[in-house]
Amino acid sequence: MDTDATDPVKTRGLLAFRIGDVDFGARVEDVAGLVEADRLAPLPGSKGPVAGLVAFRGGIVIALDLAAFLGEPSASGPHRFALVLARGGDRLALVIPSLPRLVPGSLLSGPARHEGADADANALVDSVYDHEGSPIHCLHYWAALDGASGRGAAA
Amino acid sequence: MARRYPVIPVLSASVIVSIASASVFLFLPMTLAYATATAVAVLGAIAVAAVASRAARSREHELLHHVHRLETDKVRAAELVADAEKTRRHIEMATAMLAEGRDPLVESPELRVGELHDLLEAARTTRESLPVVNRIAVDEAELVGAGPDRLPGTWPRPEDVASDPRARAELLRGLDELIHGLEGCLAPSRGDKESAPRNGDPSGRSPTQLVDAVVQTAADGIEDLAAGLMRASELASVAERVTNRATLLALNAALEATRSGGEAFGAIAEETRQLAEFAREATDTITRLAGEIEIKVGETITAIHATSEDAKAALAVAAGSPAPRTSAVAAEVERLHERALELRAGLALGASRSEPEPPAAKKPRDSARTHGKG
Repeated sequence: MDTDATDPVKTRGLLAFRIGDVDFGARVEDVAGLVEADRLAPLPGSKGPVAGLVAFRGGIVIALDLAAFLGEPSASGPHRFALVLARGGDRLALVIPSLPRLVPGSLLSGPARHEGADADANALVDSVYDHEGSPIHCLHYWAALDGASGRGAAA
Repeated sequence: MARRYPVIPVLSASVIVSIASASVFLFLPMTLAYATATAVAVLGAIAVAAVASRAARSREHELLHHVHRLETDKVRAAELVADAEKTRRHIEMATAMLAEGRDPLVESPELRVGELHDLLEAARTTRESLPVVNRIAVDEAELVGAGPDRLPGTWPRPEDVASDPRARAELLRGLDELIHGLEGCLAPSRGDKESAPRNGDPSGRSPTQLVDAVVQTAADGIEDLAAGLMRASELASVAERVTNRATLLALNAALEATRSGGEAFGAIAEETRQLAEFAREATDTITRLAGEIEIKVGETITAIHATSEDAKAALAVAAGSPAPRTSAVAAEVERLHERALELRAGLALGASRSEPEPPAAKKPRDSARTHGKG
């Protein structure tokens, strides 16, 4: 794993959550907000990781089940949350099984680029931060949405 | 001149003097010692004689005292012998009068004083109150085994019973009370629901019902507790939801603060994290405790129901087969009851042979017939 200060983005903090045995995170600069996702409106014709639609500040946002996208058991039950990402005027909701924890940037080291043996994984992981010896992976979530949409369309 | 020296006499005298001197010097201490010992012996003998004389005088005094007491006792013994002789004559006189059917206290004024008077007075009272019982039965088997047609020799004769209606009624009443008491003792073992004791329960419930009621009350109370705990679990769930929403709100506020670039972001983030951890720990603790209590309550309810079933089964067994000691006592009471019934029947039969019963004695007799049938 090489450290590249120019490519990965410094952050004020991370919203970290756990899926399976891996810690993932989203930079607070990319997060528009958090909502409860116990009521998701199903999207007609959608399959795979696309969980449905979630209401966020007067709008509807596509919700992506990140656990399903990563091949882990899908989050279910009443206590699910949606982490809404913002990119310009676009919104993307990531359904996560538990409330994320806010990790200040002062407690983080990195970021570092993830370079592993799996090329797909290298393409999916945007950067890796280190918090008290544990890595927190930030993904290309928008690319995941594109991939999920493509797979869903193909299916 | 011939020198005539008295050598021999002088020598002899010298020898004698020497011997005498030696004897004096040799035997004087012995003589003194002998004299001293003799004096000591004489003095000791005198002291011993004095002590012996004093002891003899004391002994003599004691002997005189004993002699005096013996003389006194002799006088008293003579008086007692005289009194005994007098009492013997009185007793013989009273016995002869009693044998002849006379009253010694009426005919012999000298018998109206002293201990014999009290004895005769007591005998007369007894004779007047219970003239029937002039002979005492000594063998219960003899009484009971004889039956009504062949009364034992020690049993009061029918004419004796009939001669005193008051005594007969008293005997029958006593037998009725005895039979009634024995039947009261036998009622529980016979399964008599009406006369059996209720074990102090005013509501009249059986022990099985009491145990069942107590256990049911306890089970109901614990089931209510379990229902309350389930509601507590629901409250814990609601608290968790509220906690999640509060944390969500705090996280959103922290995100907005981050975007605005405020310096308080770190503090807000830390407070948010602590709030989330505290709420999570509290909710987890409540949920865990509620779950443990639910499990314990469930086990308790199961144990109470099992105890109830065991208690009812034990009571059923106890009701069906009484304990050995209890059954032995019941058998003995049953035997006594039967003998009392036979005794009463024999007494009633003997009375009916002599004369009709007074109205006061009819009721016990009828009662005896009823008991005899039972």
